[in-house]
Amino acid sequence: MSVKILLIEDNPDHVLITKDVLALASKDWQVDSLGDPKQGLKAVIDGDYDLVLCDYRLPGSSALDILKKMKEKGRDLPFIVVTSAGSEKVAVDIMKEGAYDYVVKDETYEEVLPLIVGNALERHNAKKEKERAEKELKIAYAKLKETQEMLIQVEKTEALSRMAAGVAHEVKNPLGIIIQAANYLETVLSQKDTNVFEILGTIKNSVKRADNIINGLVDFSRARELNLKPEEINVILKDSLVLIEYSKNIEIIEELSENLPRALVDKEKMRQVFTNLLLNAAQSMAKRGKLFLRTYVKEIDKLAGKIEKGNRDRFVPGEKVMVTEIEDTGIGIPEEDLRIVFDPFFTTRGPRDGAGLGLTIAKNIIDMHKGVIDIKSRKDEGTTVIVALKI
Amino acid sequence: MEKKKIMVVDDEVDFLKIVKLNLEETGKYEILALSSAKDIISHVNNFRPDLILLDIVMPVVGGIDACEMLNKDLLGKTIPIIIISALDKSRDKLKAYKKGVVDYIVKPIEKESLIIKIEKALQFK
Ligand SMILES: Nc1ncnc2c1ncn2[C@@H]1O[C@H](COP(=O)(O)OP(=O)(O)O)[C@@H](O)[C@H]1O
Ligand SMILES: [Mg+2]
Repeated sequence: MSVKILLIEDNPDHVLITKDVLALASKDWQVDSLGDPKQGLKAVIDGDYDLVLCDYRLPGSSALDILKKMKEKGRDLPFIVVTSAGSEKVAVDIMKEGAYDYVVKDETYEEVLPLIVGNALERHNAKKEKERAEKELKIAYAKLKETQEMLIQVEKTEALSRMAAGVAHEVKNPLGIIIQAANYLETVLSQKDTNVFEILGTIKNSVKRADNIINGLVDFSRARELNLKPEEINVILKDSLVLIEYSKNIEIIEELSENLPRALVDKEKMRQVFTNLLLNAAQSMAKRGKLFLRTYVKEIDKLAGKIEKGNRDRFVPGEKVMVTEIEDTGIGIPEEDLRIVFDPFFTTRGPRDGAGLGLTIAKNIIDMHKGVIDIKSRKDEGTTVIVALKI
Repeated sequence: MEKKKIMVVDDEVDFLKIVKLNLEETGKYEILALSSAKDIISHVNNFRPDLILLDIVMPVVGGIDACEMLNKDLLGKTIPIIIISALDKSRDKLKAYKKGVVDYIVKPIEKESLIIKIEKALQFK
């Protein structure tokens, strides 16, 4: 394998001698020489040399200068200084600056130079090898660390879901007792005292409220792993619609695009999302109203009026997304609540109707799909929920 | 009309006591309350219930084990079982239905709903 050596030396005789010595020592060593220190430095920094052999005393400069500048530029090459006889002390100083070695121009020059060059190349290779090994070790370690963190994360979510299920069991048992006890008191206490009945009603409602929260928490903790398959969004939406009870006076208007591409989603989880959104819409229109269901494909940039900038930025500009809109003509959401409707446990409903986790779960699931969910609403006018998914 | 006999098995003695009171209060049922499923077979053969309400998570003999024991008993296998448990996972429900139970109730449940489920299950006999 050929090794490129740069010789910086202004004396033409010495150049010839050195080239001869090195050519004799190894066929693989190719020597270029430069007499001007400025050109020499440029070649050290920009060239592709494997080793530098530099005369100590150069016109208007020295090997020390070149070595320092090489180090400044972050070049790491084996650097050997050639000194004239009797100036070994200078060479020692240069070694301190980080030169690999030095060689004295005396009668031993021919014999010693090849040994020193060979030795420097060997040391340099060993050093590079060590650095490469260290780098590989670091990469391997980082990978290991990453995997470990991922495992911890999986372990954590599993532990969380196990814990939620455990807590649910422990809480539901006493709730079962309380509600049956309230039922018993209802039947045996005097019907005359209306306070008692009101209080028993409160007890039962509180039990249902606690039960709702526990159920929401379990759903929440379970909503982690995705089972992705190409699915028809229209079908999932219609399935979800069946699960909701509506007042007879709600008119449902379907504007579902035909021939939509399939979206890669978890069907059960998306059904959970739509069920929550449809339920919210139905609950916002207790008496009468219109429910619009829309699905279509559009470029993300063209959804500026519907999806916030921050959410749009989660897609590539020009990317086509699958949009589902659920619009109601219900009571709407006041401006000040819009920011917090996705917060866990935020609810404006009575304790029996909502745990305030519906939108939290919906957002969580949509996030897991790398999609976005946004709400536009005006108080007393209605609400539109927009879900955009990758296709 | 003769009272229907119901056996309730649950390690929560407070639950047991109150469910017993609630069901007896209707005048329609005779209740045997057991806080353990350990001797369930001999109790079934002595009491000869029309229906069993069975918890799942119980020390020593759990509800699913109790189902297996009942399924091996000549009389036991003829009696409809309703699970009444605080476990709410579909996996737990599936396990119970595979043992042939007729219904699975998750606690908490109100007395009225419980009675509707009991009446429905009694028709299985
Ligand atoms: N379509 C809607 N119309 C009006 N208000 C809504 C609508 N969807 C959500 N909200 C508001 O957001 C709150 C939180 O919703 P959600 O997270 O589903 O919890 P919950 O329905 O249990 O209250 C609701 O209580 C309600 O105030
Ligand atoms: Mg909701």
